[in-house]
Amino acid sequence: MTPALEARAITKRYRTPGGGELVAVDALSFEVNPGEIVGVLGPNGAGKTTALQLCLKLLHADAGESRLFGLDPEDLAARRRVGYAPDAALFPKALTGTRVLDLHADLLGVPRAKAVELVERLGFVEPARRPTATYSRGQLQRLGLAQALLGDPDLMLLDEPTAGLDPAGVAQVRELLVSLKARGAAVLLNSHLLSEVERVCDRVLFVKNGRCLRVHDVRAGGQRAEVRLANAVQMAARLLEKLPQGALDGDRFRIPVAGEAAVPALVRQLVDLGAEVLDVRVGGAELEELYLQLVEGRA
Amino acid sequence: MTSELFSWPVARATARERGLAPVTLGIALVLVLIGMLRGSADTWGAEAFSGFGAFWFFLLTLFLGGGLLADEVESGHAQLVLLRPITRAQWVGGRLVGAALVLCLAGTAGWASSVLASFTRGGAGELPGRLLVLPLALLPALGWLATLAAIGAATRGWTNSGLLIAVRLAWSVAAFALPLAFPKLGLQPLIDVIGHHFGPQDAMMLARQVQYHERFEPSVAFWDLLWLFAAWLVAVRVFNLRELARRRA
Repeated sequence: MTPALEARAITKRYRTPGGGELVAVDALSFEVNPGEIVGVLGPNGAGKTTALQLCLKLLHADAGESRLFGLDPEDLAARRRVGYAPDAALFPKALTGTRVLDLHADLLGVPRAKAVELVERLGFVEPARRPTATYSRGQLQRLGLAQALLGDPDLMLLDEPTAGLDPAGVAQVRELLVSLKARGAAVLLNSHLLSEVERVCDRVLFVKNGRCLRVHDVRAGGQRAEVRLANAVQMAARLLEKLPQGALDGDRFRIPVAGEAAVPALVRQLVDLGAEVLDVRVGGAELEELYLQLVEGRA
Repeated sequence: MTSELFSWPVARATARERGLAPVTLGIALVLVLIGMLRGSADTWGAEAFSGFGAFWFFLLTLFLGGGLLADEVESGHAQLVLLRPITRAQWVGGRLVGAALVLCLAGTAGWASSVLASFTRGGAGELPGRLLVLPLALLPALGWLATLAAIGAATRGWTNSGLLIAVRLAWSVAAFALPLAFPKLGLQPLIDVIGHHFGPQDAMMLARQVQYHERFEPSVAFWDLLWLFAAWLVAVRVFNLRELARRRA
């Protein structure tokens, strides 16, 4: 199977004002297959956005190459199948959101009705009638997403798609990602929201200083629940006796679970044991730990 | 409809963006008014492009060509459009054709108002000449528009319009002052030759030549056509080189 996106040792260096050199992306290799969502995690300045732009050849790599569906990223046949939502997208200020989407629909050769449908789906009907000069950051973000989704792309590259969005918008993006995956599209997602990444991604690349530190298979290790207890100290011995696969860290009890569906049974079991459950989270904690360990260098 | 030369969707969006701008609408209205007021039985419809009208028509050209490429590049929108299945040449062509459409529409409105005014004031006949006035007025304006696109492929914002004004002013001053300052050098013939090739030229005399079956000398119109397509080609080439350099930087 040809990967939707393949990056082979892509490298990008910038000259700094002092005559030095900054390696923004350093021999980064990865692939994204159809029906897969791959997340890219890293601190600010890690080279995540540069890596996305290198994949699309919006920037040219100093070494290495990227392929979209086995083709050069500048091949028009490849571009027809790609959607890209940049971080902080900007549009001609005089044009309304609808006009911008009409332009992109025309360029892709898809009916303008598709743009109308996306505008409604993204809850963007009223702003779409206004010039983009009047848009808030979140509205620009929604317009950026809408233009990227036109043409039902087989590969989506999203750079911080939830930045500036309200909680409803974040939930919409999550639903979009799930629906893209369900129809077999490949997604590369740059995000700082660890919980979102862990919820939707199949694999995660940890990137720092332009290098890939590790590729983490989110699904392979199963998921983990983190339960905050009001009486953790009193329950410690009992929990470790009855649930030896779990571990207690302060007031948090962490235990592997098959998925979100297994959480109600776990909570019932804990309550039956006498635990006072304050809060339950699935997933996030492991990725956060990994992030802190790999990227921040904390033990 | 997208040809190899330009993208029609880009042209349409550009025409809408530039054509609906208040400045464009205002200048178009001024051209119509000039045509209406100056049109008489003896005029052929060139009033919106000559004298006071020429100033406004050139101003419209400057406005339509100002930041034609840079506005999109600097806003970041060009990056998204160029990810679509079109070439960089088609994008540049689309922007230029879109602005050219608006220029032609505004020019046609000015010409039509002048011709109508002429008809209502007793002017009739001489139809070939009257009809030729419009394309002959538009041709150099389109050449200047393409020149603005070519300069704008390498400059920021609206610098292209500023540069064009500066160069044209500098040339006018030089063409006037140099022969006076250095009379012994006999610069006038040289300045005339350069002047006849300094950008698109006024080809309006062709309308008269056709109407009165005078000796027909279309070389000026051919020069304007050559200038238009050469400037277009330069715009594409320079934009391509600049974009590739930006991506490699």
